Amino acid sequence: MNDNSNVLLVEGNDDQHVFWNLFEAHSIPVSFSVEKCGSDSGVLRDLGVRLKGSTTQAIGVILDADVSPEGRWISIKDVLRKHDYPEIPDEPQSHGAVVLREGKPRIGIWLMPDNVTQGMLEDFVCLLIPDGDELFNYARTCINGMSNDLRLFKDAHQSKAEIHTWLAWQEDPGTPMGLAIRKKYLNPDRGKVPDFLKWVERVFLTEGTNHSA
Amino acid sequence: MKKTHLTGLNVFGFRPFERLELKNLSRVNLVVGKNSLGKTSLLEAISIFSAEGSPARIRDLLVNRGEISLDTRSDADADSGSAEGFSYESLFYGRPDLAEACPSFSIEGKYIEGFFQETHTVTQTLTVKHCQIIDEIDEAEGGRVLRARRIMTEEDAEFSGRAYPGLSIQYGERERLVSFGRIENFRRLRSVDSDAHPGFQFVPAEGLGSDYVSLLWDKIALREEEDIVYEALRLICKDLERVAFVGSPRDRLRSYGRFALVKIGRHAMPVPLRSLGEGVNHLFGIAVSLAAARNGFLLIDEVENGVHYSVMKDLWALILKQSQDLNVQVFATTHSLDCIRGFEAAASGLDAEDASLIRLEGVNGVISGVSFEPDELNLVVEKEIEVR
Repeated sequence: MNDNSNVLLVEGNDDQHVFWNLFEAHSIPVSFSVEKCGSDSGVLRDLGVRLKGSTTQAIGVILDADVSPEGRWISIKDVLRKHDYPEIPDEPQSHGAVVLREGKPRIGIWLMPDNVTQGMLEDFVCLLIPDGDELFNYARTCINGMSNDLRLFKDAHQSKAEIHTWLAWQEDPGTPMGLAIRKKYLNPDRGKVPDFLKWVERVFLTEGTNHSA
Repeated sequence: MKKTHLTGLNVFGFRPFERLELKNLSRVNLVVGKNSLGKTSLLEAISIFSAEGSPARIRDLLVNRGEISLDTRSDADADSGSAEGFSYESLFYGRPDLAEACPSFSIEGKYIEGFFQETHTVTQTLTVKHCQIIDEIDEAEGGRVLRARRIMTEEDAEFSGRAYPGLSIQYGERERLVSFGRIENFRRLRSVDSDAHPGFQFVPAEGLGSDYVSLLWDKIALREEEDIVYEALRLICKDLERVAFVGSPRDRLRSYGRFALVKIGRHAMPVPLRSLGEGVNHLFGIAVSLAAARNGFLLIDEVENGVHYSVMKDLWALILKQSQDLNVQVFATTHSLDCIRGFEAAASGLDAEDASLIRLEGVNGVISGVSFEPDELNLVVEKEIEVR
């Protein structure tokens, strides 16, 4: 059940499945939909159009901070300014930002992994691996020990390589990240999840709406 | 040089608008928004502006909305010289009592003039003000001569003659005074029926009357514009071959008015167009109006009426193409999601200059527009984002 008035905008398929499974693991009521937009620019484009929707109440935006959290923040700020949100914090908020404006949809912004460090969804997911997990340590050792000839991925994708290597060696090899939460390979209570869920609650589950329509 | 299109429109004090501000207008504009925000009034404002405040146009829109009656049989005051039983306060925001106040409304159209980097925005303003008008008449031998017509001022407190309600209509530098001293004067203003205005064509929600369409048809018959009408009709009736009007105007004795006959491939004999259903007739009215609107405005209220959703995309494709060829700026209103989808499909790949969807929104008469360009509409339809 969803009338498209509350929506969480994410970049890709992996994001969508990770959040679906996180919400399910925590019995978060599904009063909003999780929409994948294909890319970071797709998220910003979707945000710009939904801000003009006539029934939009709340929009959560999740973007990777794979270049820098500050750069991301500026690009989101630009979109919001164009739609008459004058009071936007100068920098990302460590617990996730919520921007309010009388008569306008409530906007939430979360930059992966934790609003502060450079990174992406995979960095957020790596933190769900239990402490001292031997397989994960081994996977990391392998990756770090690779010769440069074999190492085809760029440095920014280190965490991506690590989590997928680790997932490749599970009981069910190659389980995607979302499903790995359901199969309990990953622990949905760890890392930045508590902060993240509180942010989701502030964006979507707060009583009352400030939308005039 | 061709007249350029409106790029912006501001309306003050007209109908439900205390203030309406629209920016970034396109060549073809589909207007949505909740009831009573003023979609039809927006079309009316553009029509009055386009007609440069023509009193006949103002009269016609009051008549068309049933706000005044010009039926001589029901008007006992017709020859009494009184304007009672007839009022036009609905033209003004808040419907003020015209005996007490002198309200006015104004409409500002913005155009871009010039070429390339040398362009600048030009604003043209129409202001219509209610006032009391004095006709100074000289009694001369053998008759009366109207010496001067002017607006009554406080200095006229001693004026012994009679002042009549009327309108001061200012368009650019030019001002006209129209006195409604005799309702008969208002009634006799040249009717739109006999003088289809070249500046705009207006298709009301209930469609156009057959007599009126026949007058428009006379303007385009045997010209290249005629093909637009055939192309439109064939969207619904594929084997339609020709259209002709028969009958005499309705004001003649025992006349049923002029009406359209069509020749359809599979039938040996012509059939009345109206027998083909409401959709075909509405489409005919839209297509003839478009064809007759060269270098002006086409204003369509509730464009989806009677038109099946499967035809919407093709109808929009036709309007988008022909409006460019004929240099017509189009404003159409709708409530229909199918209409928006058809518009999106037809406008896909076009620029914001060519097409946009505008939602009117606001409260207490202060209305603005939220625009969606074709690229954004694509997302609106794909993700089912509500824009109405």
